[in-house]
Amino acid sequence: MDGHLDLLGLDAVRAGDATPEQRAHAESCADCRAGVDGFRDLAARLAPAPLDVPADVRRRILSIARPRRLWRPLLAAAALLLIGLSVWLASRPTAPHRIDIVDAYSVALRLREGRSIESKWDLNGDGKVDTLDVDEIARRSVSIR
Amino acid sequence: MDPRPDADLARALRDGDASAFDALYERYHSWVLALAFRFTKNREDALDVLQDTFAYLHRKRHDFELRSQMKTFLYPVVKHLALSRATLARRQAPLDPRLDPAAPPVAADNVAELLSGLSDVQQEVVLMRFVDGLDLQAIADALEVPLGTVKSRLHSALELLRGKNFPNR
Repeated sequence: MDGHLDLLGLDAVRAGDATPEQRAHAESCADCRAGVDGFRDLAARLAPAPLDVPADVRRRILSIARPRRLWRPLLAAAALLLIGLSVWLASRPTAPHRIDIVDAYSVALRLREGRSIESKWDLNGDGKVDTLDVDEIARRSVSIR
Repeated sequence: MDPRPDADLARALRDGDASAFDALYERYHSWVLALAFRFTKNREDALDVLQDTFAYLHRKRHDFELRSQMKTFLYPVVKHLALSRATLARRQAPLDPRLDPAAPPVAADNVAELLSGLSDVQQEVVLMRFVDGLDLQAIADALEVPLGTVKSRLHSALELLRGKNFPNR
């Protein structure tokens, strides 16, 4: 190779994409090595300070490639609704299918004597069996269906 | 760290492999952010550009074919998004000279000082070569100019820089 490397040749050696001849010349020529070192120094001085990516930005970007699975929250909501409905239905007092006026009398009597009464007679669903339920039993026993 | 080369990642991304997207993000996010900051000169805007760039990459995944270097593909995307954002910011704050999208793509004061005296296109080529590590053909592809134009711009820029920074040779 005749003469020194030109500026693009010096830069090519710095950047690592020089030809074998250019590299060989730079290794044997002090002037060209100084030129390459000058460009290396320039590259170091031009290097920007690194910037951090906040975790939430990184998360947002990586989620772009992962489509939201809408069926998951919907399925969870449906399951919760079903469980709630089941619990509510199970906890509801079950009234007897046929109610007689004698039942009203019987419940009223047990109330007056302070005896235990099955929760199935809590017809108004207020959590206790009292005279209001007696009234309801009586009303239902005589209602015309 | 995903060992697959960029071209394989591009193919995998096209086939819907989310891990390929992750790998490309891990490989290029620092560079994209630094480049975005070079144009916007604002960290928050640069972060928005980072997000927009990868959203664009994902939108384009179906016909994404890597014909050259990944940086060659990303450079014009980042530049366009960053300048659009800078233009928007300029409209909102017209008195802030730092947000002038016509200003050369220089990131910091020390860099601006180093590159003073160079034209905008010379500065851009020098930064693409010395900071982004692109080879001359990749720079030509990214800027959509002939290779000879890149060589000419770089040579004239290096001549000016040599005189300023290491005049011993």
